[in-house]
Amino acid sequence: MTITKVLIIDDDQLVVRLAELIIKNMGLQPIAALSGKTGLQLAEKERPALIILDLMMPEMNGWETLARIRANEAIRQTPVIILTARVGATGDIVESENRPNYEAFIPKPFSIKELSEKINAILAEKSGSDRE
Amino acid sequence: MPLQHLLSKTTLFESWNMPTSKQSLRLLYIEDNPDDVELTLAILRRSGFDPHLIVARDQTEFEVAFQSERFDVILSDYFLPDTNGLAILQQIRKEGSLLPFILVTGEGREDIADEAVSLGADDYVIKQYLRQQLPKAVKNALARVEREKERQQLLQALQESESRYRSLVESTPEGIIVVQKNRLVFANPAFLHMVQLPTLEAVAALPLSKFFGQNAPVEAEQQGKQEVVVQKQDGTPIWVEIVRTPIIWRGQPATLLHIQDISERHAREEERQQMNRKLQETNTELQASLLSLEKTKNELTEALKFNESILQNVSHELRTPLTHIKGYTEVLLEELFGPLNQEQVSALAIINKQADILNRQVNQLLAVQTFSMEGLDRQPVDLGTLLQGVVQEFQPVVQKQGMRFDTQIPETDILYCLGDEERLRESLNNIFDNAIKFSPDGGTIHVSIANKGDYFLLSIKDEGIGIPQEKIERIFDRFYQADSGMNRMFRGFGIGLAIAKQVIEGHEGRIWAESSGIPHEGTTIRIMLPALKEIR
Repeated sequence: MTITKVLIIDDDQLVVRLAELIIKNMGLQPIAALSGKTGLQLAEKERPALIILDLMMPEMNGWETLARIRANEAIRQTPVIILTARVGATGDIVESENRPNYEAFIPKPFSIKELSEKINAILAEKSGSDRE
Repeated sequence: MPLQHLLSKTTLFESWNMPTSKQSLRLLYIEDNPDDVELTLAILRRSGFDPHLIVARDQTEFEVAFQSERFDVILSDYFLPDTNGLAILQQIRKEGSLLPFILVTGEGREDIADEAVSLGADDYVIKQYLRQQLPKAVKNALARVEREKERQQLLQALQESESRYRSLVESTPEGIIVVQKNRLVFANPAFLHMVQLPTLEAVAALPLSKFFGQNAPVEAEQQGKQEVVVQKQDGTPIWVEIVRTPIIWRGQPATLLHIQDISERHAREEERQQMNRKLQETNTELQASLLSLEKTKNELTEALKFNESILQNVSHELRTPLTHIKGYTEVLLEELFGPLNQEQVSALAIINKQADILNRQVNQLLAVQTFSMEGLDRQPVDLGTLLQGVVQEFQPVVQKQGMRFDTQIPETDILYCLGDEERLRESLNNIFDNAIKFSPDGGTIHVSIANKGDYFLLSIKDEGIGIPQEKIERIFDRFYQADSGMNRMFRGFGIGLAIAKQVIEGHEGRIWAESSGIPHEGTTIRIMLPALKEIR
């Protein structure tokens, strides 16, 4: 049985390491990318079960990266959790127009509990739909 | 006595009176011959007169009669006992009477007749032709008197009319002058007053150009009207309106001028124009300030937008290290890096909790800056339950600090309002935070909610240091703390109450603070929220 891979794309190395620790602790295999470009390449190559995506990144930002994921036939079905500090006062995502759809959203700062619960929920749903 | 005699005689003649349609004639007849008297009477009656005759036979009787009666005609014989007709005539005229006088003379005495006419007699008749001449002479004399009378009346009417017009001309405030051949021939008192000269002569002595200048044409062939400046004697100019009318003055063409002083009207016009100018200036200034206001407004809007984007960025920048602090603290707490002892766990818990507090404050900072009513998600909320929940949430904190809650929340009553539960909870959290912050150790925090029908009244009272009266309004201002020294003592940005105020007012509610201002009597925060009618 192959280990489920989770790709984390964030230009903040400290956040990437934190996510890796949490994902590893959950018994999953973390894959890290520090830019949208690398993230897309790794996604195509490694075919993760889930992508955790930061929005505020230099060069290719999160929305653009997400748009390319959704445009890529090979990886378009991969569920995506948006992880961002760019949230409003009530912790809602700061909306942008024509944003591609995503499966979940976690505001920064986040707790281990919050992240692991979201990952588990999405993976459970995914395996459920895969079985069908 | 003689008059008595005369009158009785007259009465005698009266009995012969003819019908009254005849022309009444009061006649004084100076004649000493009774036959002539009777003949004269008969002639007059026959000629259509109704004579009332008084006869005087001599000078004395004449004087008595003349003084005491009024007559239409005097008829006198030339030959009289102690005088003659010419002397009588002279006496009458000398006394100023213009009564018709007819002299009766004998034939062949035309010299006397001529003299009589030259002395002012109306006519004379020859005694022998009395029948033929007398009626005509009387009629002519009466006609003369009539004409005279009419002339007198006309004259009087003319005089009256003239005086009426004179008084008009003299009393009108309008200057009236007549100019003929470039000379002033008439000026009324109003004009004299206007140019400050005492008499017409004084005005007439000066050339017209003195008053009207060289260019003002004062004479005109046609009626016209114009506004010109007239110089007063002392040179002061006054604005006048002149109406000219060509007239005939003493048989010669002349110009009548009505001159009206319009300096006041001109002054008012001037004033009005000045006012208009001022208004225009004010208007221009206003528009300038409007423009500058608009500019300031744009600048402020810009600044506000800039502030918002700065705030967005700042909050992002703050959240990034917070993410690290919280994340790694939790990783440690989860013992991903190995087991921890009790002290390490509690220290990391403190770090984690403070990171949460800091994060909440960042969110509040953003909230107060970006609040909008449209952002409220309003559903029916039971305020009693909400308040009770907040009390329970704060219970551990309060107990830990040796304080306690005193709550009066009716459990049976349903206190619904239409509200955004999360935002209301956050507002109450801020108010509770504040109350705890300012409560002394061992103090009580009094929490109550009352149903007032149309609205609910929530009260949260601490037993802290209170707020001075002059600062009580300001505690809902952003970043305000009553005593800046408290900033060091107590945590927070001082925006919790500002957020609460925004949220409560966004719910059409009111929030205010009450404090006696006496230290340790505390502060009461009161909240009014409208009740939801449909559900109650």
